[in-house]
Amino acid sequence: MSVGNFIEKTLTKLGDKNKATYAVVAIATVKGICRPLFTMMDKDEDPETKKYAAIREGLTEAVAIPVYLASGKLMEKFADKLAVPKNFMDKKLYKRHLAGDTSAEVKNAFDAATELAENNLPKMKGSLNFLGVCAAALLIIPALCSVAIKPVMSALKKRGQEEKLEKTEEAHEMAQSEIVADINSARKLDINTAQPIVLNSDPSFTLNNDRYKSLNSFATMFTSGMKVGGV
Amino acid sequence: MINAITGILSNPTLASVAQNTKASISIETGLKAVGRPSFILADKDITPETKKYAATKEFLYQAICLGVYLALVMPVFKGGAFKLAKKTFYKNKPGFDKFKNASEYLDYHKFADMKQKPRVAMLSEAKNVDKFKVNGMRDALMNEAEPNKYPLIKGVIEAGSIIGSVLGLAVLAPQVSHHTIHPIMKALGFEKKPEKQPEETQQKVDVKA
Repeated sequence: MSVGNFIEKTLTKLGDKNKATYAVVAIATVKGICRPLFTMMDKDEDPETKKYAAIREGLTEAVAIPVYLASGKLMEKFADKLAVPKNFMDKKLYKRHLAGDTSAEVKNAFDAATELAENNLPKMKGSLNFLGVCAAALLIIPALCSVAIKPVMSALKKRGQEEKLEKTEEAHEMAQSEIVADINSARKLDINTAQPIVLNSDPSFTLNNDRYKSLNSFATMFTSGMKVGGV
Repeated sequence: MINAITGILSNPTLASVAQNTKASISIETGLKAVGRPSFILADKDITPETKKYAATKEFLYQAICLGVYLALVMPVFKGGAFKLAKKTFYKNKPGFDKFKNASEYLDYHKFADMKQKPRVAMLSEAKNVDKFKVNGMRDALMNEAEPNKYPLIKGVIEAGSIIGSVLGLAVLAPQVSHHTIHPIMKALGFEKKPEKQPEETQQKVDVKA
């Protein structure tokens, strides 16, 4: 089958049985790709904020796609239960049919109801699919997102903060060792033989004390892009 | 009760809306524009100010999406797909020569989807007596139990609508809302205008340095 024929058959099928699910899933898929991309391309935002916003947007759409598919499919199943002759026929006549009445009146009514049920089944499936999609967009997806995404984002945020703290500590350690090396070379000491200066040997020296902060700001001052009041 | 539900679900109008991408997406977005802010306002865990801010922002976002979708995207893609198919890809396919545009076909499809008896009754109404006479489709609608619905034409229009919906709601509308929501929120008094004082101070310091 050529590509042209395949497209034509697909379009004919779509024209014959279009569902609300197709459009919403297509929208959610493209949103799931484009929104995080747009967020990451924003130059005015903080990189960390961008990362979390992009993950959140991607996750929201990742939750939305299966929910749309499932809610549409589940609702369609109700159509099979609703599109039965009983629901398209007078109750008294249906009771007579159940009781085994084979009169022409009951038989004709039952046949007509069966035909109606068969004819209306596709319509009911379409309607229920649409209602399922609306319910998913309005209720299920926001509820699921608030239940499922919040813990994921909190975990990611916690992990990010830990990584950030580790990186900060690593940077501080590197800055310390650079300063020590600079001081040692300034004193023209042979680091291999002479006693090196170890800032951490001071028990009062912690990452958060004022001495460290001043050293740190001094060490990074030249590369921090400071223009006003700099050297 | 169940009979009433069955009646609603098999209603031709609802079935037609469910099969129509433009109608279903518009209704869904409209529901989001009303429903989501309502849920935010009903939330008891957040402060009234935050609720107002979030609900207004959500409403504006959905309203802008709906506006962009209905005003810009759909007329272009729905009609455009039909015209493109008629002039290029499917110009020799049956049905395309019978309809001037997508709206005329969709109107025809609405009648073709009905049962013959109500269809004939509706076409006999005063406002519909001249319908489909030009393209000769009226005879088919009046005399045939199941007139040709030309599913390929419907498929082309729906595919155009889906592509338009995707581009409109996933790409264009977020960009438009990104640039319009903040000014509107500021105009409504939800966001404070950025103070220029610190920038001026910074500039003064820069000049002196």
